[in-house]
Amino acid sequence: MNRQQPKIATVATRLLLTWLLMVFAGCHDVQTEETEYHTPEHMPADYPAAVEQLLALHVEIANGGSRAGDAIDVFAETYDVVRWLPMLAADSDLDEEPWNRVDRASRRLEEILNEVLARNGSDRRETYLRYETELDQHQRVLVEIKQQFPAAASAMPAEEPK
Amino acid sequence: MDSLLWGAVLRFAQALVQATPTILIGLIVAGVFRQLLGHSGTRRLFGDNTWRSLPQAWAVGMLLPVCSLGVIPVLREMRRAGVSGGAILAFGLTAPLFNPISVLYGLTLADPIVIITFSFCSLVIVTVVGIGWDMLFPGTANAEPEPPVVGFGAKRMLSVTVFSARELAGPSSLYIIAGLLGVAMLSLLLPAGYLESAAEHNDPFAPLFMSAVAIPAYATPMTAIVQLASMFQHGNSVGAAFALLALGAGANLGLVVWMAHNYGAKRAGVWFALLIVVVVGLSYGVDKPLYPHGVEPVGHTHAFDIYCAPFQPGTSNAMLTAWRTLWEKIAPHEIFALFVLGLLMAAGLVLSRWDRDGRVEKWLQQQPTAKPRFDVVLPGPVLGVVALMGLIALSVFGCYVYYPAPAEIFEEMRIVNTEVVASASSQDWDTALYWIPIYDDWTRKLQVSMFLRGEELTPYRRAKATILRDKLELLEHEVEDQEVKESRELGMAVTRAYSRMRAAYTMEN
Repeated sequence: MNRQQPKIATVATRLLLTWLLMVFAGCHDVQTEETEYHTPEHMPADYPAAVEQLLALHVEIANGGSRAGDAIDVFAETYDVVRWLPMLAADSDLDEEPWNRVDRASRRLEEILNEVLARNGSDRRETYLRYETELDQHQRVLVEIKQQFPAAASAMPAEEPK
Repeated sequence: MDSLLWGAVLRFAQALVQATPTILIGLIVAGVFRQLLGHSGTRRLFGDNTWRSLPQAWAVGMLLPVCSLGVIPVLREMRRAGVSGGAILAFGLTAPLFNPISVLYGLTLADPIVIITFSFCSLVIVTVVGIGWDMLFPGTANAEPEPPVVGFGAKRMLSVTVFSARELAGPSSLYIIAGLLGVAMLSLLLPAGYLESAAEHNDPFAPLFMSAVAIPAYATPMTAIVQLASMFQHGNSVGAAFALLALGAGANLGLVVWMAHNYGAKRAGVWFALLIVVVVGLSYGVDKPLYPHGVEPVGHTHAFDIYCAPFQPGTSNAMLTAWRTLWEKIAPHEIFALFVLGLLMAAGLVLSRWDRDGRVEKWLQQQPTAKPRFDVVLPGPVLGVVALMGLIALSVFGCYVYYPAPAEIFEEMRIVNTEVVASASSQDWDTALYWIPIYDDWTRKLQVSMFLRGEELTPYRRAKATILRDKLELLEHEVEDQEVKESRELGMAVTRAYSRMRAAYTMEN
């Protein structure tokens, strides 16, 4: 046992040094100040706004889809809006059946946009437009469900919990 | 300096308090192994050092509710029983990762596939590391002589208690303290809030960095799964979440010291390196595929605050604040476990001081002179298996207590909702901050409760619960910043989200 003690000390020291290097080498960005809750600027306020934004983005892509250098890529923005659709729809009085349709449409659109984002440059627009018929079908579903929203407004007055 | 020191003391004490119930269970399990199953029975439970050893060790580990500190007395007993090194390590790594209550809680992470994948990955880890160990270091199993049979009747139960007391007053406590020192050391090294952005989804180093932090960290299975839930809610790196579970809950410094002491520093180093390689590899493997759908990364998390210093530098009255913080968070079952552990420790110290030659054990080994007329004497191993099955049954029963019926949960949530909204609206910030995490916890318990009672957790219901938690998270930030108008508005949004969630779960319209 005594013969092992120097070995244990050596290995423990090496492990400790390696660990300290990993945590404090400065290669990792960590913060010590209180961080703000981050909400992206292009996040729509609710489901109807998200559908409107999605349609506008579709038109923008069909018309060329190129933006200034510092603006968020139009396909990346579309991808984000598509991903947020189920949660925005859930933050309303929408029933389960139409919500499931939103969720299905969102997942399929996300798959398509994943494929689009895997391409570069003009290939993205080409790939996106290749799915135009399917995109149109999903957009119809989303717009149809949006029609339910005036009656099932997301911003209903507060009520007493049951 | 004062705040740093008392911060470390607080973290040490918090981890100890959290660990007491599972340390107690670990001592009982070790006692059952030794006094009831015996060495041969223990070896049989773990596959008799055949190919079945690793999967059996994994399965037993999944069922028994111990943590990575509570597992230490069990590992010591398994080693004395001559269980192979691979199976000991497989059990030692799996048992702290999951228990029935934490696996059920894991259902609320994002999708059930997440917890199923994490469980499967734990099987991969123990299999690879276990096979690697047995191949690299064969013949590490050395059984000590079979312990003497204890007299039947109450003596067998008493012998488990005496064993637990001696074990607690012996080397097990030193390994447990070594594990807890890792937590204290982390709090000395990491300033308050240092890890808020340590596990971002788009950070390629997040799983690696989390692995480095998780090694000295200690988390009970429930703490780890709650942290994972928070990470999924915040859209953090899934790989980092897995690394935290596997190394934060699965291993600690005490376990490493035990390994080095029993198998030598070189072998322990090789085992640890192999473990880290497998965990980091799997972390990167699950990082992208398991990322939850539709979650927006919020840019930070408070899930890892417990691994950092609790106080900002220069905090006044650090000692008093530490004491108050400790007592505010302590749960009734932890007080009970602390009391029992205290009694066991006292008994163990008395025995090690005044009964060094084991007179108590010799008395326990004396069989009664006459066999009882109307009593059937069951063999020790039968009682051992019944005890272990009872422990598992108890933890299943515990699931139903921990996750009560939905009607009870809704009643609790109604009260908590009122507390949160009223305190946020009336600028009672401390009260709001106290109730918000409790509210969040009830939403998860509701989901598990529904699942336990055969109700379907549809994506729609999951989404409604997620919305409520997101609103609570936003409210928590506004309350922390003491924003009056925003807190009031978000309080109302929380109430709306609660009403919608309740309607979705009870099918009300």
